[in-house]
Amino acid sequence: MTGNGAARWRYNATKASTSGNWAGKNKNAANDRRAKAWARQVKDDLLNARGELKLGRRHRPDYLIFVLAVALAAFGLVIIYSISPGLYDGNEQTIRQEMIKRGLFLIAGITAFIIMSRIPLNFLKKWSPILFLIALLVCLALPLLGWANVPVATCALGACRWYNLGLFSVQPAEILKLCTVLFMAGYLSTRLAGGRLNSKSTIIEVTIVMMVSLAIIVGLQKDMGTGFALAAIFIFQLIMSGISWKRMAVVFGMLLALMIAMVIIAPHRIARILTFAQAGDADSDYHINQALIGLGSGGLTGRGLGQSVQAFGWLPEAVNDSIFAIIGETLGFVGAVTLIIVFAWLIMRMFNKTNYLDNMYLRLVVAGVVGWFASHVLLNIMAMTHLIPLTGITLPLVSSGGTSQVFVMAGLGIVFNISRYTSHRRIAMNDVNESKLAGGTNEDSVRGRWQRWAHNADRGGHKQIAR
Amino acid sequence: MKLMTKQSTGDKKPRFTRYQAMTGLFFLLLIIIVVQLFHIQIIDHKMYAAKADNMQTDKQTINAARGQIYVRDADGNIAPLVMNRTVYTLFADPSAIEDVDEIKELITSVVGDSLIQDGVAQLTDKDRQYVVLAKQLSQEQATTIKDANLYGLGLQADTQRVYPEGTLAAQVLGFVNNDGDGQYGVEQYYNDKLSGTPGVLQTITDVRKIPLTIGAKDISIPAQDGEDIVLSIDRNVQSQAEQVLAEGLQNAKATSGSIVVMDPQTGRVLAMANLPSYDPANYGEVESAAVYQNNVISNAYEPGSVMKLFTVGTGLDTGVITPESTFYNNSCIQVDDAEICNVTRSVSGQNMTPMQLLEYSLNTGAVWVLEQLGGGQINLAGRQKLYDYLVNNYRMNAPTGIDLANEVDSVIYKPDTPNGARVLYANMTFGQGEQLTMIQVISAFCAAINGGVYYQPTVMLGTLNEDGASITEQEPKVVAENVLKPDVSAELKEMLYQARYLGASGSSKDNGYYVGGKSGTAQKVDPNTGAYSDELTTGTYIGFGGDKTKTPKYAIMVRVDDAHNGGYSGSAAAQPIFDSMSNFMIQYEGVSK
Repeated sequence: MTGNGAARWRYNATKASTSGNWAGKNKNAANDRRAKAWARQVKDDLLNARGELKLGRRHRPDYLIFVLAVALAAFGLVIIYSISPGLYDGNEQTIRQEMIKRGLFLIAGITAFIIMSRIPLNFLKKWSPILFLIALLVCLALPLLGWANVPVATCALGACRWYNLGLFSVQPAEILKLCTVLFMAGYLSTRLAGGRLNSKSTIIEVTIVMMVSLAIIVGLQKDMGTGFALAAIFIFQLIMSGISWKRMAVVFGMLLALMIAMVIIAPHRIARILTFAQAGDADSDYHINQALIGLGSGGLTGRGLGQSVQAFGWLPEAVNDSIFAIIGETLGFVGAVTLIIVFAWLIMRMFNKTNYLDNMYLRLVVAGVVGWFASHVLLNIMAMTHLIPLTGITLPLVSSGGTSQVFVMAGLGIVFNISRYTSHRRIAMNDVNESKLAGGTNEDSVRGRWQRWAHNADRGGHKQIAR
Repeated sequence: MKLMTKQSTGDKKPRFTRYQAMTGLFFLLLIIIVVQLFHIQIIDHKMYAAKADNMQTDKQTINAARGQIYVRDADGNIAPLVMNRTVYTLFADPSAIEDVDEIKELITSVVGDSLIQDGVAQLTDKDRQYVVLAKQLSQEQATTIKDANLYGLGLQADTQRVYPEGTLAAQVLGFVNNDGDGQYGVEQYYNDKLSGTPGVLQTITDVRKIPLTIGAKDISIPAQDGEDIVLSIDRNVQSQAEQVLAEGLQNAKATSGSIVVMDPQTGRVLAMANLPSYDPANYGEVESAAVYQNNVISNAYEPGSVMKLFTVGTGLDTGVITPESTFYNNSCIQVDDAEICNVTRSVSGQNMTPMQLLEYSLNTGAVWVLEQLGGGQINLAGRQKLYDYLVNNYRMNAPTGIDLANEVDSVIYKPDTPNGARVLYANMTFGQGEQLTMIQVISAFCAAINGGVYYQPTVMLGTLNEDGASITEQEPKVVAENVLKPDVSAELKEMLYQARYLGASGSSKDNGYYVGGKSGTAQKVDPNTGAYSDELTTGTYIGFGGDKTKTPKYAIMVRVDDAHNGGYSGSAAAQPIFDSMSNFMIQYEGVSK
């Protein structure tokens, strides 16, 4: 990013000499004015005259995202290879086949990453509503095809979660997560630009979309884990859009009501919750116990790579949802914490991009991917460490997830793509409450930002920032 | 993250931006995770490691085959008395059964009538996982079922003791209980030797219990099978002993009795039997556990007049009497407040020799010996001398240490017992007042007649070598020598021969073999009255047999309780059994005239 020479943004560093010149006036009116100013600001940042995304100057993307993502995926492959004798009964041929398959998925993931890193962001924004609708339909079709006994739908225990496409399977919920990120970013940035983010209609529309998505995922596909991840994406993007906490409370209320309804409809979820309260469902009980035995027996430095015993049939889902327990068993506390640090590094690396993006759409896309990725990591590891009930969610990139891996890589590819358009300077926070700031013009305040932006728009010149 | 400050406008600046709030939440959760991980992986590591070991490690005990027990006969043939047989329990897992009819057909054809019908009825109950269908299947039946390879059937192998000779020597052998522990007799005494050492196979396994190569805690120790024991019991002698005992008890209208045959030159027991007995193969089906007891070693009783031979032996060995000494027999003798009288009154008023003392079983004569030990009266010095002989020479104050379980101790009162020691010791000279086991008496008897060597009584001859034909014998163990001086022993042996030959009861004719013995009839304490009873008696006969070289080849002791055939049970009930056994031994051992 050094190639850009001067800072992209310049602004008047004058301290807020005008601070308080509206003090004593009608508070609501002042707030309203600032909200409008914020909306104008967002609108200005969002699109240019031709209705295209304002991207600003393009620079070198953040390759660390790619490096960390591939490192995590490669680490996952190593772990899976190390336990493959336990998974496939020591059958050399099966092990080779499975490892080739996983290698191909990693290549597919890298390919998706590269495609997304080069895809025009305008294209994504333009098509995201359609893509989202298609994704919803694909998800909706799955249980219907399952009921109709069409062989393409893979169902187990009354839940249809996979499309079987012969050579490989696709989990449409993963497509939905990616499309939700893109769609919600577009929707929320448009509402912001229209100054209607905190209007009732926003909440009603978001709630409807969210409820429909969750109803399909949790209600029809009975996939609690994906439901949580999806909800996390919605919530995270809403929070990062700067919607008022009052509105957020409504969303949380709706989600709580939905969860209660789900629990009533599908009693096995009650069992899940009861399991966590140390009573019930023998399968979940067994699963969590085996995970804890795996982690606990690993100790400080672990049994050593390839020395996992839990992988030999003791721990269910060793290669997917439970891979963290295997890592804890073989590499110990040191290995598990190192992995967590790498995850945190990647997540914060991506999340931090939001501070350097003025375009609200790009910001919300990054926030969505971060919410998606981080919720997977947290839900998976917290379930494995017995902090929350088991939900059946993969550890992104590391788990042998097939589609999950490909789509997560695609999401990271989009962030990588966006990382080309960051500014050098930290930009004002996207918190609408900040617009209420009385405190003058510093670069993190909307006023300062507005002034800066106005200045920039008027003069278009370059002036070194003095702080 | 500065504290909230009031601005002049009255507006509030949020403490955190949303980015900061979300980042904070994220790191808070990460910290919670790491703390929890620390708790699981570091603090609770030992607990989970133990859980993992417990669950992942499969420790199998490889059973050691229990040693078998053999006996010999005079020709040196080795025959098994106790063997092992593998029997199988057939069970099914109804939840895993695929074809119930097929299984029913198979087990009916193989097992037939001994099928457990309740189990068969439960085969269709898919909720069950373990149903026993038949027990004690043979190897062939098990193989047939195994070869059919039907899913849902299983066989559990168990080792069982079998007794090819039936009840022979049951109380010597003991039995093995359901836990595999030897109970009573040889099985209990030699439990460690017989049971061997189980092997251990410990490996880390997968969830299906298939061993893995992971882990350094694998243990593989092969089982050390138990040793095969060969008893000194002679199969034919034992068989004959049990037979003559049964016949003798029947003739004497008695229900309870014992016999023991010993080689006086080695201390080895050739036969040992009691009645009533039991079947070790069905040891659980007895009315009372008392029948497990081997009364030869587990019951101390008053042996009666047979003790006179030890009294005479003491007198001769200390030199206070000689075979030529005489005493005046007055039929009765007053000791303090007790009058001791003889059973045989026909020789009253005569001078009697020690041999005649034994021949007529004169109680007054036995008391006379005690007086001689005290220099002419029953005093502490004399009692002490007799006690010394009983304890130190005849070794009657402690269990013999025979290699059988549950041997009991004797009761011999000390010579300085405060009250009535004089009467007590007068009685003890003819076998009333002390309580001894048969094995103590016959072991001492063998020493008394074999030249004075006390051998450790044993029932184990040695262990069977792996070739199954040769035996590693244990040497006879000399416990004490000079129990009696060799010439005294010879004198006593001669007296016993003559006493038997002349025979107070007149029943034993000298048929040219060198057989000597002594009978005894002890009154028993009537449990109802607490006093000595004339009705309840214990008859004992002890004797030896040999050829004209006067080397005793065998010693036999017989005990009959509560005989009801009239006469004194020592001679009327026990002696005929001795006679039959002795005659057999003469034939069997090829004793020459």
